[in-house]
Amino acid sequence: MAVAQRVPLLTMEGISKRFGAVQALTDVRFEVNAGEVMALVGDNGAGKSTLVKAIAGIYPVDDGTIRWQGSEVTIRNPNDSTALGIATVYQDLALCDNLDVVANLFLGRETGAPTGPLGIIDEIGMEQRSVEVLRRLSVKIPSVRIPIASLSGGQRQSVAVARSVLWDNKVVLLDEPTAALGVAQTKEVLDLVKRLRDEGHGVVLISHNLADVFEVADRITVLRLGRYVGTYHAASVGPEQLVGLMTGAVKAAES
Amino acid sequence: MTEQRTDGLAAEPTAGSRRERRGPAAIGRQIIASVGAENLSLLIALAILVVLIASQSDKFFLSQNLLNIGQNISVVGLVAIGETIVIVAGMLDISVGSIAGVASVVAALVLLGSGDVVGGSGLAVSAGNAPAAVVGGILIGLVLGLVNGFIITALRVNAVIATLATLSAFRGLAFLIAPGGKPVTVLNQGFIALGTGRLDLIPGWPIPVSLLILLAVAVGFGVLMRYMDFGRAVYALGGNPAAARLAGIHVTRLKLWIYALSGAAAGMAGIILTARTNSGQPASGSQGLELEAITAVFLGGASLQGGRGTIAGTMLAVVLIGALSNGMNLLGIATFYQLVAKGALLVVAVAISQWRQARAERARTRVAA
Repeated sequence: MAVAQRVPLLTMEGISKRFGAVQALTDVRFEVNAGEVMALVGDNGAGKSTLVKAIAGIYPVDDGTIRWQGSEVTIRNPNDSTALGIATVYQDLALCDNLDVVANLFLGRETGAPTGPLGIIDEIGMEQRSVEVLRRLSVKIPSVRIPIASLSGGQRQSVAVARSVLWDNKVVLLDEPTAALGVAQTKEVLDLVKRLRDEGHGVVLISHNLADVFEVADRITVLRLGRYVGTYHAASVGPEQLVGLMTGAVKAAES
Repeated sequence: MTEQRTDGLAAEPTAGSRRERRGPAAIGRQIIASVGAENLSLLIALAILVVLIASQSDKFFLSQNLLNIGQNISVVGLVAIGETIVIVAGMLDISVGSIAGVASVVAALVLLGSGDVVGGSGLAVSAGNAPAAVVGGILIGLVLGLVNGFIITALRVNAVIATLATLSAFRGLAFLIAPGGKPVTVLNQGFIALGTGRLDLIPGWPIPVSLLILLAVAVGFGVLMRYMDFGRAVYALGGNPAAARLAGIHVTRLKLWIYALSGAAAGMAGIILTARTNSGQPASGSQGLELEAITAVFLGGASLQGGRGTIAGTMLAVVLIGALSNGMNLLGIATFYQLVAKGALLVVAVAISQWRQARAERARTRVAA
């Protein structure tokens, strides 16, 4: 188990989160290493989304320890998360249809430095960096100057993912990246996920589709009813066993 | 830029890469692209209509009349520039006419405060501080715009309802601050020149000062929208507010600025109005400005859903609408018919924009499938 000998990028222990009377997370553990795809699975209401939103800073945790590269940190809001180097790709929320690919990749950071609202947009520099990053990740689109609206679902999702690594983020959270995609487009996005891992990013993948999970994940963390079930190597657990763990039919025994 | 692309990314030149070539032809194409083919056909139809009307009158193509059109469109043009920003952001501002009315009165009051009262049948003022009047008019527009923005962001009132409310409230305010609720006559010649002055820049074509002001403001706002962070944020807000927020754009502050700019542009229009009519007018001249401005913005290629539209497209539409109403005046068509025509034009402009949006969405579904 070579991965475990390094210091994980992100470690979470004893995480609890309560919404009024609902205990969404109870004593949950989670970690992700550099250069690995960690899948997060569970049935509806298992707490996957809550955990991811805790990492993204949208729902700060009530209790528990978060470590970033070994040192303890607090994530109180999305800015804290971004500042650490965590990028979140939200399904369907990430892109502006009316803007072109370059504008979307750089949205909110057009001039690099914070020059204020009257900063002149560096179109040429932005376009060069866009072409670079898309080529590096082998994202194939007709042109970086066409509006997002004219791209396919897979291309759109690829652009959203590419944006998350444009700014040297170490951890990328992907919330159901293939939910609305066809077979070919799903493969496109999953290939991209593998390339992110090969580049040394820690990728957190949330998916309902277990075929996707087994296709790309190195390890799988299972949650059930807001509690931690276990973390398993993808190679050592079968789909039926995984479903059993998610539903509670199979008793947890960590691999 | 094309040479920097790799084969994988752009196997062949696409429509998008054409945009990077500069030059007048490219800019022309860009304006046409931003207006959109359907709107373009409407604009061509309008242009033909203008020519038909014009051919009925021997006065239309006289330089004097063309310059008159230029002078007349400056007020609605200024209002339409601010409205373009609001509509691109996916919102609406129907209070702009009322803001222009308040600014018109405020400009006259500043002159009144700094000048001499002249006797006569009504209240009239000579001299006065013209630059202060201009600043005052723009500032009050900005402040009233901020009031709109506050109601929309802090009180979470829908933009149409909020500005419908202030359309009424600001109209009342204009009458309340006008002494006796009546217009104040302005006699400061330097100030009046903003509305009626001409500059002999081209021999035989004395260019109206107000048209030059409109051009300067249009270029300034055009650059802001096309090349600056602010404009990009406005397009992002109109395209997908959630994505804009997630990208770190401060949406509330942005909305406040958008309405402040719309108000300031309307304030500028109010100043021109005062200068042209020699008087601070609470209502006459500014009433109905919102309708013409909104029509021009949609005719110029903007979409009701936001995220689309340009200052250049709006200006093109403003010129055509101005020429159309000038032509109708020359033919002696009664004002009531003109009002009906203007209303119909708004419906047609928005209907085409909606149809275009629906078609684009259908095309996207096909791509995704």
